[in-house]
Amino acid sequence: MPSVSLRGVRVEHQLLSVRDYNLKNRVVQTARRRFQEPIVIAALKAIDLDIREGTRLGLVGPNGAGKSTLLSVMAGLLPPTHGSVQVDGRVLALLGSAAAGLDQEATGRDNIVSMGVQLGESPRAMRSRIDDIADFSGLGERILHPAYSYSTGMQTRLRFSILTSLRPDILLLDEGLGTADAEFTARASRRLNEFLSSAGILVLASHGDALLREQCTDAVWLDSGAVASRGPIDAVLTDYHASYVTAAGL
Amino acid sequence: MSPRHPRAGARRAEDPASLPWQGYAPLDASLGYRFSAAAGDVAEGVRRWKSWTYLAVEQVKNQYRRTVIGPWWLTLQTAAYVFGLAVLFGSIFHQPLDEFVPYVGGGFIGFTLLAGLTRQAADVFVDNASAIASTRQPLSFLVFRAATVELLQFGHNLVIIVAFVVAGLVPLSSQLLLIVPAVMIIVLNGVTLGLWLGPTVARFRDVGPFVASILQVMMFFTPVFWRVDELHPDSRSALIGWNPFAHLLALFRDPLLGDYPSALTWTGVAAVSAGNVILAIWVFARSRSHLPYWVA
Repeated sequence: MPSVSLRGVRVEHQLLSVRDYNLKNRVVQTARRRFQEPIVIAALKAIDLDIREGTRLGLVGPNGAGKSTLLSVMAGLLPPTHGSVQVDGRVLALLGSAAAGLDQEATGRDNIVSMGVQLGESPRAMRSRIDDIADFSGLGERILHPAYSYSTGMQTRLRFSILTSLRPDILLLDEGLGTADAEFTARASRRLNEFLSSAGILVLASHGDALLREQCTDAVWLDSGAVASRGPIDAVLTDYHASYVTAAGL
Repeated sequence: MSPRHPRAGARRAEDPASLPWQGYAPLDASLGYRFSAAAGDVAEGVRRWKSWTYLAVEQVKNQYRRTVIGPWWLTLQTAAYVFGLAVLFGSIFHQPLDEFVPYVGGGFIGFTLLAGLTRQAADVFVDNASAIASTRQPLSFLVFRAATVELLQFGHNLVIIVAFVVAGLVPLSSQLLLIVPAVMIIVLNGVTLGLWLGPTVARFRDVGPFVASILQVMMFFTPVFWRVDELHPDSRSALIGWNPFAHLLALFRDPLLGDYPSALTWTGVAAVSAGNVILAIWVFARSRSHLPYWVA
């Protein structure tokens, strides 16, 4: 059964300056045994989080709260500096910019194959899925055109269609559908419901309340890299919005 | 860390057929755990050979998608270079063209492969920052793919060598067969170079431009279009003995000219390869989990 379990997960970015990137300084410092420690930014501070099968979790919080970092850690793209990550099931993540993972010169069809191949599928298996994925993306004739001719929303639709066709157990979305149109969002919702009925996990980071309420039952509110609260989506959203209204004295 | 909590960062295999590829080792993991995680990365990378071969072919096709003759532009460019260099330096050094054209041709095509492999090895992780941030895959996979792109471009240039054979400029000898292991050894060096120089460039950003400028100079310090025996004996060991490019180039070019590589060449190639393998194991195992932070 798919599950995600984080224990004491910390992510600390070292803000490397020109001085730290300089190999000569590094060698000299090593020789003199005098290190100047780089500035450390704590993106996640000791996160404990369990996500069971069938959970639809929304991630909310201000910019820079650590939502994307948390998704990267769960996706296995960023090893935490401390703590442990236990993920059971196949994780796929729609992270990064709309174009991430797409070859801009290649056609939509070729991108379907090469993106799947990068995710560990064989070229042959992906070729047999091209038509299904192209149909679901709703790109029509444009699937034959190179990706650089696509709008941001079209690139998102293509990537979402490819990822979900690979039957992930755990799907991570970072504002995933924010740029897609209403018609595609409705079809995407149906596909998400389908895969969640088979006990899958959805984690969606978003600033859109409507999308969050539609897709998620639970939510985690992240603030400055720590979990501020967790609970049913409506309660968490209410607390979250109340927090800055109070802070601003509105 | 591995004996204490070996399941840290562990994941179930994505499909039953896959090897136990663990993804990144935790940043505070023991050295032993990091070495085994790095070995798992390379094993999974090798297992996906169909995938990176496919992606390398696509990448070369896409690079030239909007041109008519595509990657053959490289071959034309190489042919023009070889012809120009051979005529120019042949007349400066008073060399007979029928001997000098295959010498410069083999030298230039071999050096282009060496320089291309070195360049991709330096830039592989920095150039793939977006893939590292968005797609979970073995990091060695990126190195294999980049080396394969260089090998494909070299394959197009081999047409020029075939033309030399047809024209009788390169003798059809059994020594020619040595080109196959020579290219394999050169590519293996390119891959191991990527596993240690790639992380080094990602961490210390001055190394990338340094490598690029060294490569341009090496073109002149390596016997691409001049002969070793024209050097003063005193400067030979300094210029050739310590130059890894000279040994790897001789390994490829000597068979083309009907010769067997010399003992010095074999010794040099063995030393360079051993150095690259040792550095690859050491640097890749230690830096792998840091790479997503360094290229972020």
